[in-house]
Amino acid sequence: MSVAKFALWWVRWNGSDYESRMTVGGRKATIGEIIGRGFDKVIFLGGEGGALHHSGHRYESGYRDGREFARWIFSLGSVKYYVAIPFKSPDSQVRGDLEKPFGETYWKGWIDGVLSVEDPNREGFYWALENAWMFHEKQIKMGGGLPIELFEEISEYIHDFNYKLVWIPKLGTLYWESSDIQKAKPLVDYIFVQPHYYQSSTIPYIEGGVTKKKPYTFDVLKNEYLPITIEKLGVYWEMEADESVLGHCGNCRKCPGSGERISSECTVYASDYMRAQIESGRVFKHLAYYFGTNFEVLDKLNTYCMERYGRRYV
Amino acid sequence: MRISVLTLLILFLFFPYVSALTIHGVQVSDVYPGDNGVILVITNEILSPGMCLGDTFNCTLVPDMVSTDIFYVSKDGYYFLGEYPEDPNITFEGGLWKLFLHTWNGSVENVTFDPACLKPSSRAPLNLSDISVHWKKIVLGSLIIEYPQDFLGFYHNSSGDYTVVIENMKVKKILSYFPFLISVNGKLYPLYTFTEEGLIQVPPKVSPNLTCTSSMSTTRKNTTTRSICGPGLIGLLALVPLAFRKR
Repeated sequence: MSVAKFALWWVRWNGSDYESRMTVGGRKATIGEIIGRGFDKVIFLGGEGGALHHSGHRYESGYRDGREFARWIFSLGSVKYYVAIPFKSPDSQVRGDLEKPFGETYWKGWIDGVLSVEDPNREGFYWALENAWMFHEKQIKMGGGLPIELFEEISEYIHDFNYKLVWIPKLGTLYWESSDIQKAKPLVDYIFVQPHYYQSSTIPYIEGGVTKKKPYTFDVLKNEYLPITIEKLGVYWEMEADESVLGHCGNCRKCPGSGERISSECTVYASDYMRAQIESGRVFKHLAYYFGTNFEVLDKLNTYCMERYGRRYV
Repeated sequence: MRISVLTLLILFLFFPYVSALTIHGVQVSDVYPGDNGVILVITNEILSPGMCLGDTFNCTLVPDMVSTDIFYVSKDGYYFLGEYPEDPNITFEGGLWKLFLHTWNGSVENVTFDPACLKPSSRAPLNLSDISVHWKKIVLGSLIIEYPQDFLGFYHNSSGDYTVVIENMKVKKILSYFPFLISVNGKLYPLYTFTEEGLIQVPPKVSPNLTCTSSMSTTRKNTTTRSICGPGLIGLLALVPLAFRKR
């Protein structure tokens, strides 16, 4: 497997068509500009599905919606890419019927709709649900999960067409054992966990049989979270940053606020993902990058990491 | 305790980017009635926005941690039976509770819980009125227990503590802070208090280490014998007025 760097490319349905949310220099960014920043793969997504068109719950709707999305992506240009499989609808409900056999579900329809558009640049699919406990019965009841059997069928179907499957679950905890990441691992080609270090000041863990929280320091990221990712889970990281590094608050742990203080502090948190890898001597072979929607976030971090660590962020 | 639309609007206007938003969410997920009391199984989650652009209050909440808390509630008191990584299987037979528990170290245990060995706990009810949540009622003879039906979340920001109602993993409503509580025969008692460490269970812990009767406990590799029962000094635990916590 060659080294892969995945960029998350945000898209939204504007009511009549899809539009890219990615910008640079105050204008819409192009595919060429993401390739020029060192990425070789792009994931087209709209959150967990909330920003993607949803015309109904049935297979036929899924087919129509998936085909529509694939045709829009096809029109963008030449880059190896992954297509989101949306889980949530714009009103935050589960998109399809979890009780139906896979062949009749919205998700099978979506995949078939995407496949109906031939595109040699398509490498696979991205499972958009971020819940690391997605197979737990309680999460399914609360609208945040699906039965593992259904996910197995989705995975098998995708692999039958020689496509790959990517998943980026949020794992902002040191207690990884009860998550479903290990169950999903045989079904997914690339798993990138979201460490959530950039966003959260504290991290939960278990002590004495109860959940506690401790400060999410660089040492915790490097000496606890990183070894769990590599040794226990055997998965990769998502690098996390957003417009806060430019001084416009997003989801950085130091927000709310704006200006130079936010910019410099959030830049440090974003670059700590790289610093942890360098200092521990364990650099991930594959990485996914969440950087908001502005390419200048990457430019800022590339410059900062070159100056500080002698290598680019991407 | 009611909060006006105007207050909600002000909250949203003044705090549009509470970006380091961490919400502790709890909801009663299962109820197991016995002869003289009930076991409440509560979903306990630490939540924050996943990958999301823009206002975090519009973001979908994604768990960082999920666990299950178990409480026993009777007319003699209320007790915390422990926090577990997954839902237990619970049955009530012959006056005894049988609990099949997943533990944090990955083993599973069959535990017998005898409520008769619990000492009554002394508690002072909270003086709160008009809590704006949906309640669900269980009647066991003369015992009436009510609990919030909603998935309630708790968070802190620079302006104070808030209780939120979560629907479809999104913040639906922001309310002034009140603790997650139950009503026992019309009186309110907190099950949790919200602190900087997170949600802390208020009722006295029925520790698995306090053996009072024997029962069978099975782990993956071997079989051990233990039981769970209440601490003898529960009556001294006047922990109740924790609604007015101090930071």
